[in-house]
Amino acid sequence: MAQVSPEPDDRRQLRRAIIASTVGTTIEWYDFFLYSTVTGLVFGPLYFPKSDSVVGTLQAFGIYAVGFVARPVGAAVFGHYGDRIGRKSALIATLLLMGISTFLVAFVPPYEKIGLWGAVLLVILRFVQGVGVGGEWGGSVLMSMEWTKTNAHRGFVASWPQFGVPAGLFLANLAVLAFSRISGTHFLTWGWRIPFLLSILLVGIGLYIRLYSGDAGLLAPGIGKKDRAHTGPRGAQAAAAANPLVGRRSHGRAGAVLHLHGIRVHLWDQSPAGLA
Amino acid sequence: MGEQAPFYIFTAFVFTYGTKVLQVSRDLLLIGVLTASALSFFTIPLSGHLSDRIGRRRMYMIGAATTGVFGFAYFALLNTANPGWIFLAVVLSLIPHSMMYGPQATLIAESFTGRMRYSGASLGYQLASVIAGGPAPLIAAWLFATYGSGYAIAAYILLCAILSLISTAMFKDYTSRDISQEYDRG
Repeated sequence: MAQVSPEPDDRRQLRRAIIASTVGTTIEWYDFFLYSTVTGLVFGPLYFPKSDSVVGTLQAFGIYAVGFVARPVGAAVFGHYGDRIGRKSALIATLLLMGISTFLVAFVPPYEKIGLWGAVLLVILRFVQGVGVGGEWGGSVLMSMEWTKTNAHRGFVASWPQFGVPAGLFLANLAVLAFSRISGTHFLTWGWRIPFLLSILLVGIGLYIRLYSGDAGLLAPGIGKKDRAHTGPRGAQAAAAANPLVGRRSHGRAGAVLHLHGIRVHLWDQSPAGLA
Repeated sequence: MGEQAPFYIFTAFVFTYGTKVLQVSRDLLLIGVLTASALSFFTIPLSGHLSDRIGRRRMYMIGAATTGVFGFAYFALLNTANPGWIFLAVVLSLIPHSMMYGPQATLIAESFTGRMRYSGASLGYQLASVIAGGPAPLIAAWLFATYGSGYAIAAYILLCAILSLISTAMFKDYTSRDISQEYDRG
C-alpha cells in the first residue's frame, strides 16, 4: 500500500529532527566541555598533587586529550552502524555512553584516597566520553540535514546541531560557575562534582526527545530502510523497534512502500544505491 | 584543524593561562566564556545561513582567515592584564570560530553520499580532533613554557588557519546542489 504524506509532514519531520539533534548535541557537548573546563581548574591539584603546578597541568591536559583520541573510534563504530542500520539508533547509543561516563566522573575519589587509580579512572571515563561524542556529531548533523526539502537551506539547517556546541559550553560553564559560587572553598572537594551528577538528568531528557524523532531523511533514501530488508527478520525487527512509527515520505523516485510483518520496507526503482 | 585547535585554546587553555599567568579570577573567565558562547547562539546559525547565500567554501575560508589574524589580537588583549580587555578578548574569541563552525557541518557532510555519509563525515572530522583539538591546549602550554609569550600560541593558531585555508581550497563546493543521488565517483 502506497503511502503519500502531505507536504506539511516533511516540515514537521524536519522540525522534529532539528530539535532532536540539537538538544542531543547540546547535552553531549555539555558533558564533554564540563570535563574540559574542570580539567583546567581542578584535576591538576586533585589527581596529581605530587607534581609541580606546570607538570600537573600538562598531566591533566594529557588525560583531557585522551577524549580526543577516542573520537575517531566513536566515529568509525557509530558511523558504520549509522550508515547500515540508521542514524537514530546510533544517536541513542552515543547519548547513553556519554551520559553514563560523565555521571561516573562525579564518583572518582581523589589522589589522597586511591592514589594514581583516580587518574586511571579519569582516563577510562574520558575515553568513553570521546567515543560517545565522536559518534554523535556526524549523526546529528545528518539527521537535520537529510530532512531539508530544498537545496538552498542546507547550510542553515545543519548549522543547528552545531549550535549544540556553544549551548553545551554555555551550560557547562554556567554549572561550574554556579557551583563555584555555591560551594566556595569546598569547590575542590565536592562543588565541581555536582555538575557531573546533573548530566544524568539531561540525558534522560535527551533520550526522551530522540526516541520520538525520525531517522535518516529525504537526502539518504536508502538508510535505515534498504539494509533492514537484507538483515533478515531479527535484525529488521530490532531496527524497526528502534524506529517508532514515524511517517516517512518516500521522495519522488520511490516505487512503493510495503508493510510487512509490521515493518516498513521501502522498495526503490532506482537501483544503484547500495550496490556499488 | 583551523577550527578545532583555536576553539580549545579559547575555551580550555584560557583557564590555565588566565588563572596562572594573568592572575585573574576563575569567575571572570567563566563569565567571559559564558558570554562568548551565548553570542555563538546567534553567530553560528547566521553563518550557516550566509553560507547558503555566498557559498559554503567561501564562508568557511573567510572564517579561517579571520581566526588566523584574531589569535594575535586575542593575546594582545589578554596581555594587557586589564580585566576589562581580558573579558573583551574572551567574549570576542568565539566569533571567528562560529564563522567556520556554522557552515562546517554541511561542508563536510555534503562531500559524501547518503550511503557513506555518516561514516565518512564522522571519521574525517573526528580524525582532525586527534591532531588539532586534543593536543591544542598541550601544545599551547608547551609553547608558552618554551617561549614565555602568548604570541607563540597566536602563531600556532595562524599556522592552523593557513592549513585550513589550503585544504578548504581543495574542497568541492556542493552549495545548493542536489545531494540525494549517489554522486561520489569510484
